[in-house]
Amino acid sequence: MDKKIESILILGGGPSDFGHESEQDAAAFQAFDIYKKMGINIYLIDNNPFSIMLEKISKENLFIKPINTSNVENIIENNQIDAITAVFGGKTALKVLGRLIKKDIIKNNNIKLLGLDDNSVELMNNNFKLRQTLIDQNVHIITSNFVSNYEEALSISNKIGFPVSVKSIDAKVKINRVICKNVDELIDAVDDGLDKSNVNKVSIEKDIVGYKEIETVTIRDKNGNKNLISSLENMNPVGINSTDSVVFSPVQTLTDSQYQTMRNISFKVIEILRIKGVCHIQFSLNVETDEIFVLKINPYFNMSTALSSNSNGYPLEYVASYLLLNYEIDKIELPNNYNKNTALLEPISDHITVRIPIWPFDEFPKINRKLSTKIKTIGSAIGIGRTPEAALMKALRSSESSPKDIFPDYSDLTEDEIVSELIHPTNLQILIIFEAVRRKYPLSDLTEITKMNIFYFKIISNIVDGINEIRKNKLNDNSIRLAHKLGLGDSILSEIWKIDVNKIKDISNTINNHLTYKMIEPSAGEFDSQINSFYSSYESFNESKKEQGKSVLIIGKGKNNLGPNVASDIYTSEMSIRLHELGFKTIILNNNPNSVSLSPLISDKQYIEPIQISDILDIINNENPKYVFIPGNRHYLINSLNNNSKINSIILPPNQKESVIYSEKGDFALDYLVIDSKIIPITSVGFGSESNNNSKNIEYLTDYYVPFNNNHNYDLDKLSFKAKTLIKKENIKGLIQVIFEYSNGNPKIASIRPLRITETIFLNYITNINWINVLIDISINQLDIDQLLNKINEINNSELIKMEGIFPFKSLDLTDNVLPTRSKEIGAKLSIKKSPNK
Amino acid sequence: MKKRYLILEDGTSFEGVSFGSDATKTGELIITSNINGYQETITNPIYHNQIVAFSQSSIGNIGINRKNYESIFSSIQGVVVNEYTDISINHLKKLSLGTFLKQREIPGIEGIDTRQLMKHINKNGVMKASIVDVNDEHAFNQLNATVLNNQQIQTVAINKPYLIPGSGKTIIVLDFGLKEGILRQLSKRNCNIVVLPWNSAYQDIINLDPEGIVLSTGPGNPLEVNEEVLKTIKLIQTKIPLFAMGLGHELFALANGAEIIKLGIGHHGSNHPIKKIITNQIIYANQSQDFAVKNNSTDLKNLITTHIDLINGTVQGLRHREYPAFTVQFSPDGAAGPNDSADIFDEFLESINSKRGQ
Repeated sequence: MDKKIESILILGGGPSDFGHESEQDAAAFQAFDIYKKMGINIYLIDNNPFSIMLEKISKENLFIKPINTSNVENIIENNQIDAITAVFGGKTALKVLGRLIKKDIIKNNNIKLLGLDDNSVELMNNNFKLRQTLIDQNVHIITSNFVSNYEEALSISNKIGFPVSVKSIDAKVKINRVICKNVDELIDAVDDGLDKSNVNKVSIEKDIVGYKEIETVTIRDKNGNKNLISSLENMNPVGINSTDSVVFSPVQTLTDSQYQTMRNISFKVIEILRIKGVCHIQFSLNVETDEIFVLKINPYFNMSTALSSNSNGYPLEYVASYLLLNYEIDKIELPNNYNKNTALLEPISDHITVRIPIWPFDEFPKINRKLSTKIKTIGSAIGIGRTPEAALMKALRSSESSPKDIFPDYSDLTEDEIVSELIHPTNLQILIIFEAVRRKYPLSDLTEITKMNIFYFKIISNIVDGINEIRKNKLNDNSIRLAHKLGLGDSILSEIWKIDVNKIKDISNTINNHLTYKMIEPSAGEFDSQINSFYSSYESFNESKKEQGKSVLIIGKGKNNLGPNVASDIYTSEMSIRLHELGFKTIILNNNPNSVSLSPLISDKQYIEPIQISDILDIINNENPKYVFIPGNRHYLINSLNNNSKINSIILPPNQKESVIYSEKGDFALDYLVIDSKIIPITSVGFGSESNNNSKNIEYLTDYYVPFNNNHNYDLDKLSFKAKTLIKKENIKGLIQVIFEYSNGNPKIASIRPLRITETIFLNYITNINWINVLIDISINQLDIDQLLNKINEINNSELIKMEGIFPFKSLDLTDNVLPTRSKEIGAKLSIKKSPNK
Repeated sequence: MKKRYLILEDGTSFEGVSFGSDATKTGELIITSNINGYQETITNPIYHNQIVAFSQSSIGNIGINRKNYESIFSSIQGVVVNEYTDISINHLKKLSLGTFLKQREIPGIEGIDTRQLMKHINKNGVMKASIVDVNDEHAFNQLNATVLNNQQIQTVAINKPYLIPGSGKTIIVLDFGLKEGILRQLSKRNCNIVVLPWNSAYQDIINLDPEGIVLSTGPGNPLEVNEEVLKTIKLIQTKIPLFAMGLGHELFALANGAEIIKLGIGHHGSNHPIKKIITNQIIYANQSQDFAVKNNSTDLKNLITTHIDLINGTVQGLRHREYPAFTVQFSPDGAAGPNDSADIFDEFLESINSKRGQ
């Protein structure tokens, strides 16, 4: 390093969207922690309100703005920036960085690029150049060839080999790709394609639909040392977006030579791009010929890198943060709880991780559910198990919305419907396969129809056979052992046998079928380490010792859904950080690989398990926590836990059932903290909506402004007095929002509600007070009220701050007139203006 | 589902379920952490007399494939795994791992907590084990009384020479129980390969006028190998470019005055970083070693260390100062395992070229 880096500008990931939750935020948070300890000044540009970084980074270094060229340029001009990186921001950030390089902004300001040099940023932004570079280096990719007559088409097809796909360029009518298996089909397709093309051209590509889709995550240091961090295998072949596919890690059905070829290509690509840090690569594999093609290169943190670090325990974000700063991989010192050699070890697992996609279809029943190359999932959940069956079952259990462990039943579908679902899979695919296996369709036929490896059907058939066995042998010792081996929760057994969960646990104990927790660590037990992440199995050796001292269990939200989920995860994380500060050992249960709350910096211990009653009881049994914290409204869960007198549970924010509702409408609101007999005003909030709807129903108001634009000059003091009187009367406590609606031109109280999670996080940002901390402090009687009052007095509303919901309608091709509602949000964005009043 | 036991010399017993053959077998228990390639591992003669446990959570997933043999015979004593998946996908759709093991009378046992087993072995060292029907005193007595065959090379290596024709350089491979990967790498480079028995005499080797000689990998303890072999190596290295791997590397070290130690904890897997000292480059390679060249025991006048395992510090590669001879402890041909270091075979062939040029 010629010049010491004293400041870094991080380009953030922006609001959550399809294929993007909090994974980049989680990675940035770890890097931030490391760089801060090195004394590096970190700047961040991002406009995602649900980012853990907003709380951690000082306001002067935080730029709440969309990540675009002029905004970044502005920051560079006005601040001392030594280095910049796009690896925590992904594609958009890389594009912006590319433009800044082209405009010489980076060079003129003498800024270092971290992770990717200018040449590789250019390659990542110029697909044509990238492809040419890969071809020159003999990396196989799928190339498009444009031809304008049949002879050329034939010569290309012979070269790349049949089947090929033919597509008309600039077609006069909408036309699909045509797959040609032989010369005859090619003649027809080319004739037809040229005919329909405005420019008399068709493109010819190798047809790879049905190839196996596999992925790797690799790292590289400045000296070119590389390490394969993980391998992932999509259950679905090429043709379905890999984010929409069930994914197994490590790969399960590759021969060693296929695996090694994939590893070699990964290393070659990361070397060509001279990446310092992390790279995720997607491949397609022709299992007949062992040919492997590179499909996509992602040299930044994304959902697959997040899956890797959660699934095998390799400290990927930690190590990559150092690699970005030009450290050599053998010079990186890991935190004490890791074996000192861990950074250098190529990770291995003695467990399997399965990632299962989560769909938005409950909110949008009408949209096309067919899986294709276009991404439709909004989240994912993982299951980690000692066997593939257990991993799959645990992932399935984690993906279900009910904490009761009941799976939908498709036994009423006709044969034709099943076959059709198998050929044209929808979001129901995995459950349909269960049904097909239940109906004893030959596994080889299923392989034929779906082009999926027989291994998947085999493990599903093991599960189905197991469940049949269990049904037949109620309360039998072997049934319980079998169920546990297959990853069926005690809750499922309790449903199947119609008996209490605790009874199953009792029997399990008497037959010595003990639950054991295994450390998620990257050497399969070869080395001793104290990594704090665990999954369960039923074996003889428990590696998760009870946390010493008083501990709390925080039950994370699990899979992401539409609605306030990303916000919930930030809420969960903040709770944990606060409880740790207050002297508790914090234990988090979660199964969303993209969540911030699973980051090792957030809690003292992490359990990656289904969030279901029996799994929670097992963890409580192992840890005996003083409190169980439940972020968010989850009635079934809360009721079930409250039934158990040994559990001291605290729900934050307080149950929405406590709301007092006169009307569902709203125009603006006043927020209060109600503690003991004090009612402390915090701020006013204006509600709005981008869409043209006049209902003013609170559920449809997805934009928030602070302060409320009181252009009718209502007497807010008077309104506040009314609000306080009502709060007192209703005896409702905590963070409270009093919502007003205009009625005949005058504001009147519509409802009083505990402040929602999303708005609490918004309020944190607006007031510079961490309200989650305040709620935690109140819940365990440790609030310093005077200090809080001082902070409240310091709130200044010199800016107009706006939070707007972001909706998935366009990405889901929703043509119907769907109104945005709070429960349909996929993310949100923040923006700030100087307040016109001041 | 037949219940069976894996019992260890130190009195430990694990309950599991049988797959493959129901035979009762005894061997030295080792654990491989290779993430893939169970077929290559099971058929590698290096594991002769050993019971191989896999830390990979499930094996059998891709059946048995025609291209993945490391030898046609398999000489391991048993397979231990957390879960076995009964799948056959080869072209006749007939051969699952279980069937394969049954045909070869190799017992398999699944349902073992291999994480605990790994911890146990790492704490208590390599030991003998048996896969048995009953874990009673008699079984343990039997286990303790078993003396494992120390004629391991003789058992797995060929005793008659054969030729694999090629248009390139003529290379003699001394077979100490070689794995096919070595021949595959040489064939890929068009070598004309002559495989000779491990105990071939110096003059018989020289008479064939080879351009290079390879000492193969193989099973067992290098200290139990006949002294004559060391003498042959010592002579031959002065005449012909030499390359050795695994057991061959250990014998080469012995021949040149280095000491060999038995590791308390062997290492079988590809997860350790190996540093190539001259370039500082880190590579990963398949290691299957229970023995190692003792650090600082090499006579610096003869040998230099070229590779080192960054985790346990073991010597992973040697080069002779005077002669064109170099060796590695690991398997550069992968199978199972990375081929980060397959270019060592090119290096070997180049060393022949430069010898010629002299």
